Amino acid sequence: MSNLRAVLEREAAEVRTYDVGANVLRAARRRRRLRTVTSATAVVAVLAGMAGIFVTLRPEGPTLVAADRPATANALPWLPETVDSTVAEPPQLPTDRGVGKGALLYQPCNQPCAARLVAQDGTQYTLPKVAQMPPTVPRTATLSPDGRWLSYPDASGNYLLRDLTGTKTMPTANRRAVGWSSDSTWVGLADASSEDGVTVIKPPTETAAARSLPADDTRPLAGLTTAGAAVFGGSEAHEVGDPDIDLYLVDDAGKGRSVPVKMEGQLGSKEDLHSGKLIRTVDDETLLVQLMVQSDNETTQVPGDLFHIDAVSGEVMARIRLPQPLSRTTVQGETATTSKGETFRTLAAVVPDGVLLKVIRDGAPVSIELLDPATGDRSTIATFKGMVASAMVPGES
Amino acid sequence: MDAFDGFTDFMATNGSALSKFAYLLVGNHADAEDLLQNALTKTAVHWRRVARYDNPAAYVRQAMVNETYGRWRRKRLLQMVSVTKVPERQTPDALRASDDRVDVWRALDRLAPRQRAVLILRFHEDLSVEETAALLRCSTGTVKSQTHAALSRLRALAPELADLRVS
Repeated sequence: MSNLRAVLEREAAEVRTYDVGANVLRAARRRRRLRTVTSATAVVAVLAGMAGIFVTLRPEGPTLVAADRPATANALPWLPETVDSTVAEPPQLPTDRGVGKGALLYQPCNQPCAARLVAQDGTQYTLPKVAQMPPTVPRTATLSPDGRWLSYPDASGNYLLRDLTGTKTMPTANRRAVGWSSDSTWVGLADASSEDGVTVIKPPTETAAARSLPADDTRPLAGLTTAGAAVFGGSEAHEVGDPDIDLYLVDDAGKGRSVPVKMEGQLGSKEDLHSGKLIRTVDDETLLVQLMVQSDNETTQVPGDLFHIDAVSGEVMARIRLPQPLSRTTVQGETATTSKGETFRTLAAVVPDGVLLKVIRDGAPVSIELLDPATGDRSTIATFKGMVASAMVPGES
Repeated sequence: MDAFDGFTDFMATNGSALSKFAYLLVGNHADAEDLLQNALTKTAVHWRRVARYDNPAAYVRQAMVNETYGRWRRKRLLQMVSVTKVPERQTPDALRASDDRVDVWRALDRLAPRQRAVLILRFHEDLSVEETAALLRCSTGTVKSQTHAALSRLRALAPELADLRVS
């Protein structure tokens, strides 16, 4: 009988102690000298600047954009200021007429609850309730950034791409929308269960072109450029050991290349960049990536600050500092222990107005904020009234 | 005060255990030595801070685990580029007499790095689920699911390990 502990113990017992001490100290001294020289250079540059003879000696680094000021109130013409989930059961989404562009999707209760579409005029519609679908397959409906196109599963679980301004509907079988270009020209479709391999189409044409990753690579799609090129999200980065991520770009001719992003020195001790789910394309050349922060109780991670990255060169252009996530407070009740108060902002989508953030409290969305990534200005553009289990803004996938 | 005060003592005290850990993580001496050297160099650069931690050795272990993720990805990328020749699998350095040992070792080599790390932290380093989660910076639920998945995969990779136990 195989005993894992015994096997590991036997293997370890034969390992000699690696004699790396001298090399380690030599390399560490070299790195510290380099850091000292760099810091001194920065100090000299600051002093020179104060004396009015600024000389560009400061080492290049990302700009810090403070976006942690209180949010102001704002309104956008395409998004109702209040999304009310307590309205009586909205009518089914009609198939014989257009309903106008969509502003938001939400679910008033946990799946398999039917999702609701909020049109830009505030009217709500109920999407088909999926009768039968494997539990591992997402039943996610998504809207294009301009709100015109809706990808959703019908009652039998087959996905459709619907023009909400008319009646045109394109069946996409088991492929759901996993990414949109910011101008809504291109949509990336992937198998709903695996999301491996993305094909892009330019609705309403149905001609598909593959944007393939190398074999065995399974990165998530971060977004599409207006030229139809695909940007696949990065891997994981940590402060210690492996601080870099790499993106993979597949251009409109189908040619791919890897883009390493140097994150060394950018991450704090409790911060990681994860597998690319929180990456969004801002424009044809830049991306926003949201890092994950270990919570105070050190058992969970919540989304934290954003990094603005040049997807062509891999350069980190800016760190956008969002309000600190709030940790849960555990309340010991008479019959049960509950945790409340966890609040954070998650990067939802990039639309022509700016960056959309969802404010999540105790696991449910409570409002939507608009962020200007250049100035750090944030404004609350919509709030939810009543029970909302999840919400999807235009361009989010 | 020298920036490396106490670091030599730290290496002398923990060098053996960290060497074993490195070897179990990557499965061959060349990569293990390289991995340990890189992790210790990063630790040394930040030694003044790390020395104040309750358990500086955990910092080195964390650095090694994280670096194996990157190495694994780079290795995969290199393998993807090379389409003309299927790379040979790396085999352990030492010959082993025991069959079950070879089976387990080969199967371990085919696990994803996080799964392998979870098994080694829990069943060689004897860390609890909570300690493993803290070191890997994930939830305890993730550690439990990764442990279950890793053991299932070991058994699936090598049917002869159907009776694999961890006690």
